Amino acid sequence: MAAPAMPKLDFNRIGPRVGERFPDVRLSDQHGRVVDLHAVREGRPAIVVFYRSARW
Amino acid sequence: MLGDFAEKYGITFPLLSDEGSDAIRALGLYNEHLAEQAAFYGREARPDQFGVPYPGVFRLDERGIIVAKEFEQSYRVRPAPALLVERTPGAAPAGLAIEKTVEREGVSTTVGVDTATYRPYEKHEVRVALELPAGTHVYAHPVPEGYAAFEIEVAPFDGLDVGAARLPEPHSFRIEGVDEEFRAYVGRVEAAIPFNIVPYQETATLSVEVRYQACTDRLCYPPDAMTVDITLQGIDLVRD
Repeated sequence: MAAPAMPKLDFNRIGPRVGERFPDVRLSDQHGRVVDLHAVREGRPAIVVFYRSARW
Repeated sequence: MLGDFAEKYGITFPLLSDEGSDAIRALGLYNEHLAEQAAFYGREARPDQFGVPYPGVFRLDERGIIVAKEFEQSYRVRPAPALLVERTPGAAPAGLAIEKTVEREGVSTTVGVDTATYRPYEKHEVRVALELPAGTHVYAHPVPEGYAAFEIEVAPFDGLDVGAARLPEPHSFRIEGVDEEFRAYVGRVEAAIPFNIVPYQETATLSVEVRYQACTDRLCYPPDAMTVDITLQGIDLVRD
């Protein structure tokens, strides 16, 4: 039996698009404080990394 | 739990927790393909693993506009940190941790890798730079009949995952008296090949082949090819 193939995903169509403003996100950080992503940037460029899991 | 993780690895930037994956879902990044991706690695995704996002990176400018987006097909493959940072305006270039230079007929070829070590699934780059003397050019694809184009390649081996070579945009020019347009490179030519290696091994050797044909206005040298071997030290995955 052939090994299953890795699905081919088109990330141009998945999630927020290049050229759009990144949506507003408000979540708790590692200190338990609610963080508003655009506010915490304070008008600076940012890198937003989607990590799989800190547990796995 | 994020607090412990941040402390353990000395992380000072915000780590945001999306328990329940509501934000991940709202952003359209819920990984719907986890089961298939796990199956590719011969594994079955556990129930507690569902809810993760597709792993990737968004780059925002000062206005919060997305200027770049880098996602991987596999949830296991990630860009090496130095390469991720390097692509940020104002950041230091990653540089080459190992490099070897070959000089032939006035053409200097440097082959290097951004790292001396690798972790399984960590994406690095082989970087090749040609320094051509004034008056010398090398051809780019599509190449006139009878000539050889500049190409770079990493020899395959089990566990090596190689991406497409990135070559710069060549110049178009015509030679006086010849009714054909050529595409060629002059000066400094930089190219790269992304790669990642899957199994942990103590060392892994990349065999990089560089091919080109150098010409001046008056003559062409025979096509040249060279192989440069670069050995990386393996570091195993962090296993908590």
